[in-house]
Amino acid sequence: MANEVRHYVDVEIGDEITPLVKDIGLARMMAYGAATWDFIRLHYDADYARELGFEAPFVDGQMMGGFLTQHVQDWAGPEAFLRKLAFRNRVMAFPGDSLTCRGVVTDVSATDEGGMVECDLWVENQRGEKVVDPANALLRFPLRSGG
Amino acid sequence: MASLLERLKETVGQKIVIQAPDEMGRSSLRQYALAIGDFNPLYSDREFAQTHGLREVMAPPTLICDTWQYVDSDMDDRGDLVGRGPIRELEGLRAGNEYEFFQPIHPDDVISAHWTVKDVYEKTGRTGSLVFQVIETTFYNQADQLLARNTETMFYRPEA
Repeated sequence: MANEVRHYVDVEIGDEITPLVKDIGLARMMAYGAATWDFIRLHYDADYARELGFEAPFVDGQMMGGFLTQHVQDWAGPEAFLRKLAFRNRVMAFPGDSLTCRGVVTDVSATDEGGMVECDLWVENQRGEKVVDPANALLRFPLRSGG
Repeated sequence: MASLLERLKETVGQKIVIQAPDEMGRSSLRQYALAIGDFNPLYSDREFAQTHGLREVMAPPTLICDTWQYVDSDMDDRGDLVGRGPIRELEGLRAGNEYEFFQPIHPDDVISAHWTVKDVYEKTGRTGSLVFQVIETTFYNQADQLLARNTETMFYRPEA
């Protein structure tokens, strides 16, 4: 959960990142455009999107970065710091889609900077298609309580 | 008229710096968190943030890379902010992003964004050819502290 501190010693290679489900609706897509000052009509105006040849307004690909950040930060707890996040968009997401963020720990190493944890991540839709793949994150964990 | 590839090739090496007119602001953090549906108290509860080692609430990390709030301009009818500069064309679709975060970003940070076009190249696959553009944006605050770097790859379908 987002509120529980997780330490480096509590993380092992192969650990699953708790899955996160995100249901996509047009209101949330519009809210994302407003929150990022990105008023491009492709992401909320159905007539405009169809005029340009798209079946419907599609989710801004960057929104996946916000979902994946929530996914890993909820699992890692409030004292872990997200150092890196990379992702490739594969399949467009549309209103009505249900997306699931998934991931697994692939490497751990204690460094001068802290306890570094690498994860492979991906996002699937309700048809099992990979919407985002591959993706990966690097997080810095506290090495131990109070440290 | 120059082809899309030629036009985009001319952007390689171009740099622009955009200076925010004001601070990030606490409500921007909450609005982004609401849009994502991410109610982590690190983004909204100062006491909780301070309990976990921060001096103040922090921004959801990807906000700084996603927002155009630092562009102080009007928009056109497509919804495009006219002041964001000529580097990226509106028709681009997103192939992916690589974010690097160097420190938590706080509501009192005043952002400057340094944009550089790193590469433009064409790739031919089964569905025809696509033109890719790689843009690196580095973000600093008013104390010239490095906050984050975003390397984004956009792609374009060349005109028929």
